[in-house]
Amino acid sequence: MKDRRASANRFHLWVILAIVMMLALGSFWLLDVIRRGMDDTTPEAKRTEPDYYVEQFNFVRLAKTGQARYHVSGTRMVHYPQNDSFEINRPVMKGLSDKRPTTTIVADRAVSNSDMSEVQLFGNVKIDRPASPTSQHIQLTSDHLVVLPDEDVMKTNRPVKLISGVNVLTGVGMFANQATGEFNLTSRVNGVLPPRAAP
Amino acid sequence: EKADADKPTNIEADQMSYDDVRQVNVFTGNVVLTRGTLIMKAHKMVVTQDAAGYQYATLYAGQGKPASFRQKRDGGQDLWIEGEAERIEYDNKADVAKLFSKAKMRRLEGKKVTDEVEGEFISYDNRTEFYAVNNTPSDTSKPGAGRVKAIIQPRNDSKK
Repeated sequence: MKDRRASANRFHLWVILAIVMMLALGSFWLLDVIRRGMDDTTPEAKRTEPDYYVEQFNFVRLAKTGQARYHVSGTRMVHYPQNDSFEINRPVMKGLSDKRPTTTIVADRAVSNSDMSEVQLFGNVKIDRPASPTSQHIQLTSDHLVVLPDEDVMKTNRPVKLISGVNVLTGVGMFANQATGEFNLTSRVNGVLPPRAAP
Repeated sequence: EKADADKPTNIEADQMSYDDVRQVNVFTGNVVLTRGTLIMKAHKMVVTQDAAGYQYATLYAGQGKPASFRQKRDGGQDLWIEGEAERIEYDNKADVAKLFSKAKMRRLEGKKVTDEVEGEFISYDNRTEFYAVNNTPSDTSKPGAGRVKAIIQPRNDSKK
């Protein structure tokens, strides 16, 4: 009698063992499915942090003639893959042309799109263009400026102060197209022209 | 007033556009130019500057308001001269203001108009305080081209 119960016990033991083994293997199998599944269905999370940066750089855009059209340099340029844009610390932009003196623009920070066709400058923006036989020394300051280097256009809707020669003009909102020599202040213009030099 | 010539010029306007090639500044919208006692108002003003730094301003009437100017005169504490016209050309070098078409010019003592002139063209030399009136909107007078009207108040000698 005892023998039969022993073999029953042993049988029970085997059954339990089998079940446990199946559970163990099953969970491995389940884990595998989950891991494999996760890889395919959820997209690679778009990185918002920068993916590369360049230090002490000088970016030179060449015209079709091979002549340099403008330089963009800075202490550090960081690339953001999310919108393929750049952020530049202490940017310096130089616009070159054979028709007028070099225009230099500096600012604290700049953000540009991927092909640098539009550069937004922020903080202590200063434009400086030395005098030439046909034009006066021009200096302009503002706290924000949008530059479209390929079209030689600069614009802002922020207050600006322009020093042209000895004349000082302030206004809110500015548009300048260096190719056509056009320069507009769009509102609240105030100009101070000192008396001409005593003869 | 002669002393005005050596004072800084201050300009206010709604908009300004500068043509770098022709070096012309155009101010538009409620333009107010002040220099010393000289005050000029217009809808639009075009300012050019020659190499020596002399400024030439042309003021245009607009939006129902004529181009006008007002300036203190020497030789008395409250002597003023006022002028208005469709167009005023002001030459800072010669210190002459030329008023074109429907030009009026008044001399005042305080608020009282001492004499008043109307014509198609008035030129006023601030240095000599001499003004000439013509009946055509140009520097010359043509017979039959229109009347020049002048009202000159009697000077009462008692005040002298």
